[in-house]
Amino acid sequence: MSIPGSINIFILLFLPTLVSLGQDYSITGRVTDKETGETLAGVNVYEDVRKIGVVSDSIGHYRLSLSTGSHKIKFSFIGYETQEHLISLNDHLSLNVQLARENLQLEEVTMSFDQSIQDTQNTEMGTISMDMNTIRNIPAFLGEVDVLKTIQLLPGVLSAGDGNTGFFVRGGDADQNLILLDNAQIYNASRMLGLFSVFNPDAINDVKLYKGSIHPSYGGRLSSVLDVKMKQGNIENYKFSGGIGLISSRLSAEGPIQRGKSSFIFAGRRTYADLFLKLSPDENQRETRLYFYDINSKLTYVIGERNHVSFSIYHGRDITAFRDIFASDWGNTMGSIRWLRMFSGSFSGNVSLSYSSYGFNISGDIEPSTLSWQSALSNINLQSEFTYLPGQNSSISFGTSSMYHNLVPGSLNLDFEEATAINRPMSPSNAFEHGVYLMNKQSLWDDRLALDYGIRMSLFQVTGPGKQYGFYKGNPLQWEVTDTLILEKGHLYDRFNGLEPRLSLRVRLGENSSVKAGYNRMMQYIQQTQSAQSVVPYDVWHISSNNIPPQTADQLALGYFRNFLSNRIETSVEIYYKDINNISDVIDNAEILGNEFIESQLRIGKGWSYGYEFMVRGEGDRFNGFAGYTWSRTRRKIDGINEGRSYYSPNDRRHDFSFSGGYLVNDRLSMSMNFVYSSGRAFTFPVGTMRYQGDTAPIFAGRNSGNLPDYHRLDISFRYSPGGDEGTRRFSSTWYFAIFNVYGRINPISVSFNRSADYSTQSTSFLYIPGPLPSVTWNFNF
Amino acid sequence: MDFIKYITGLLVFFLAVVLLSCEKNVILDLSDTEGKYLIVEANIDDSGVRQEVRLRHSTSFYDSGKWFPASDAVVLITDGKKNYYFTQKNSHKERYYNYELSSSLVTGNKYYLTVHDAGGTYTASSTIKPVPEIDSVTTRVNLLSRLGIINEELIDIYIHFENLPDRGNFYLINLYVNDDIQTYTPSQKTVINDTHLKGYTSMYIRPIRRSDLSRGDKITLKMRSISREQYNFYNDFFSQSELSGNPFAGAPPANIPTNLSEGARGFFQVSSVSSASKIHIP
Repeated sequence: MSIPGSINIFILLFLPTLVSLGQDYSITGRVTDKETGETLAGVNVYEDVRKIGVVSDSIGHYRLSLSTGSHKIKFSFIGYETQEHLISLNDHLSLNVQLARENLQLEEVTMSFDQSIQDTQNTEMGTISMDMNTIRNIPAFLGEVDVLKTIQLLPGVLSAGDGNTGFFVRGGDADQNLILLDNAQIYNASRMLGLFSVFNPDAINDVKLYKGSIHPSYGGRLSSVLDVKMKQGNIENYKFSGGIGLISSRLSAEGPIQRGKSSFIFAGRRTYADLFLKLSPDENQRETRLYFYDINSKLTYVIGERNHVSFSIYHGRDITAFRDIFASDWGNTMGSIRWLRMFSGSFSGNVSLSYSSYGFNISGDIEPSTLSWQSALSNINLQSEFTYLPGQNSSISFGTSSMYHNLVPGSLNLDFEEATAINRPMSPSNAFEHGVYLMNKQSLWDDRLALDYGIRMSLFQVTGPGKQYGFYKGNPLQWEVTDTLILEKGHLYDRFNGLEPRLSLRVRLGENSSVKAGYNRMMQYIQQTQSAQSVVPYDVWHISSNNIPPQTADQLALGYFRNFLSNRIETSVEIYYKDINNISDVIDNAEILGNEFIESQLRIGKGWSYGYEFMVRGEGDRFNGFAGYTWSRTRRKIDGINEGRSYYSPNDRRHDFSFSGGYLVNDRLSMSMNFVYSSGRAFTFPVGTMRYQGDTAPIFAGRNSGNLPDYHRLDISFRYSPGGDEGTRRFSSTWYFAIFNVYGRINPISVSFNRSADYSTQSTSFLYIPGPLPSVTWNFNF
Repeated sequence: MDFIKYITGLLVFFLAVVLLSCEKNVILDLSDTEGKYLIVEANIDDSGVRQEVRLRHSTSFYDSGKWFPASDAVVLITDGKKNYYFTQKNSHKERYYNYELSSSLVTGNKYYLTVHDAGGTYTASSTIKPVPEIDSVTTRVNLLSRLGIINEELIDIYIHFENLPDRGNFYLINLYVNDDIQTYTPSQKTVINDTHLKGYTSMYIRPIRRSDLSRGDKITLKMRSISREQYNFYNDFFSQSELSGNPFAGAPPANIPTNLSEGARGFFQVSSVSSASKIHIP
């Protein structure tokens, strides 16, 4: 489709919206937390009879257009008591609302996702919101509550394995997930090899995962968006909270800078392992450093009724070192500033500027040689988003983004005392990535049909300094470098662009059921080279180039949503098909680390994934829970890999089931459990052994032609609050007991092929995290 | 071993500690291809009179202690002008020898291997590349031994040589003590890519136990010219035999590359050799 042609189509689509301006009266206002004064984003505001509703924006503002007459307006939000307001509308109305939190003890076992009414009434599918209470309630590995491990329980989301925060969405790779923290992209969200993620639960407010129905304001990744928002901080009162666990401790403080107008939050974490090592009688252990720390902070200013400014930072680092011989550190740094403004009751917008970086450093000094290696990834992103509400039946949003990428794959220096030095600098990659989008949410035929349609246009422009390589590709198994192009700073080189249409529709079949369909096209211009079986700190990313074109994914999805028992039980089933062009994979025996010709180790082809997802969630007086089941298949076909025959992706799992539930025993004690089961992931197994020069090595069958054993695990946790209802006490504390992998299932992280000490025989072994693993954490707040 | 893998090894040590993981031996239900593949070990050079080719068949994965010599094969190497047949030793059914080829090898020439075995014909080719002369061999006490981090005393061996003027050469280095090879297996050998080396190169090769050395022992390094493909073969052999399945290391499991046709495994290489020695004086 040509760009002018697509613009014409969109003008036609938007025309009904534009001619419907000003037919109704509007109710506008802001929704805040009654206790803390924080603005609440994502609150469902809806007219109770016709079920016409909107969602509050990121600064808590909403605008609902209704006809003249009496209406019952409901405000509902996860973790908060629903409020009803009866209004008589004969003019525009301003209505600010303060929502109170639900009973805290009940809240602790509530596994809330987006509000039930929304599931059947909005157009989104494949989208799940969670607040931190839900995430805290799910049994956690070693008591370390984690956002990324929790979303791995959701249907359509596959875990990369134990001790791993990597996740795969609908057949996508881990690098195809756009992970955002207050609008800043996070490159490697794992800390301590996956024991933690960058998301400190004390600093996080809410999480939203998009598997489908991806809003056109998001771009740059193929499979999903994980949008994580930090807390604003309590704008009315000072509050301190923290926790002491087996391997780490946390502390956070929040409160008003100027009561009612500005607030701050500061949260930090640190692990202990190095402190215990110092007590060791072994000098070498005492001289080993091994820890992780991170800090989050956010400042928020509310300037009048119309302006809202926030500044967020995150910094985290993993440190390992041994005496003066070896040291390594890696981690993320991000910062973002965001200005939101209500221009009028019907027009709002925000502008943000964010910076994000990930760095990995290693140094060694083993006499007489020294080595050092530094790699870094960073981006700066300027983004704008605007929303215009022309009438009760539509909402138009549009915006832009401009990002500068800087990838420094590494500079390796290896120096010997005796005049020999290996200096292997790998050229940096730089590029601009721009996006512009337009979208309309529209309801038709008394809201029986709702449509979200929009388009994103993305442009990727390679710039200097850097290098581009030309390869002779006559032998598909080994590309040879034929020429090198020096990219000069300030000059523009290869350009890639594309149109990314997004469409969602919902047909309401009644008050409690609906059918939804969606189509997404996504484009991805920077990719991570997947190599190791587990999370590693040395990410190798590359940009689209003359050798590696951008990836595109087209996803079709269809879903049926139905609620029962006054929305206390919600069910959904979704089927999807995803087609990926230009997916890349590494060749056999690829050299990833320290290879300046990394593109020569990749081959490009097609990938496809399909499956269905079923989810049911229930909410009772004392019991809450959800269960999800996914059946899926994911395959690839790439010339130069597996002799050109199609093969299963390493992320392929046929069956994936999870259950998570919580039960409130009394006002002091609650318990939760989760059970997960999935088919073993596709893997490459040996079929024989070769002997060569006194050694042995495995002979392998086709890539990923076998499967690891099935994965399953049961976790349980108990939460005990000695003081009972926390809401009535100044100081309160909670003991959290958890058992990970209760029945000690051996779930392999990886399979090793080992040979005996005399090199005569081969054997296989699993690397796994042992179970059961009990943990205890003491949390407090005052 | 490539120095990138050296870095990886350092990291893996620390990361494995962090992961709190355990290891358990398991028996998997694997497909069996016993006897399916011919394994060819044909490393020919200009340094000795007797040249050897070894032929075996693959075994099943868990029965790798058993070996199946390819005992009735026909082995031939030719330079296009003259054929050199290898004859089998009755006492070693997997070994085939030739005593004429070595003295007729010429640097820059291309040689062709043909093996007829069990109804199949397998071929490969190799060109002899030049090799630099070794300037000297030196030793020093290993740092970790001096610091007491490891209990046994190790002696590090270093090689020093003036590199060839043109880059893009690949070498394989073996260590001998009193003419007994100490680096027989692939993962014990050192392979070098000279692309990033300076003209005069000093390089650590490997350690040897002080207890394995006596005063007056002759420490010898022999350097062979190899192809880029065989450089990859040894690096990948190391990866697949030492690191295969390691969750932090490298690429997914894959077959070690070969230059042999028709599904045979192993490698055919023809090399030039240089050597230098040092007498051990504690």
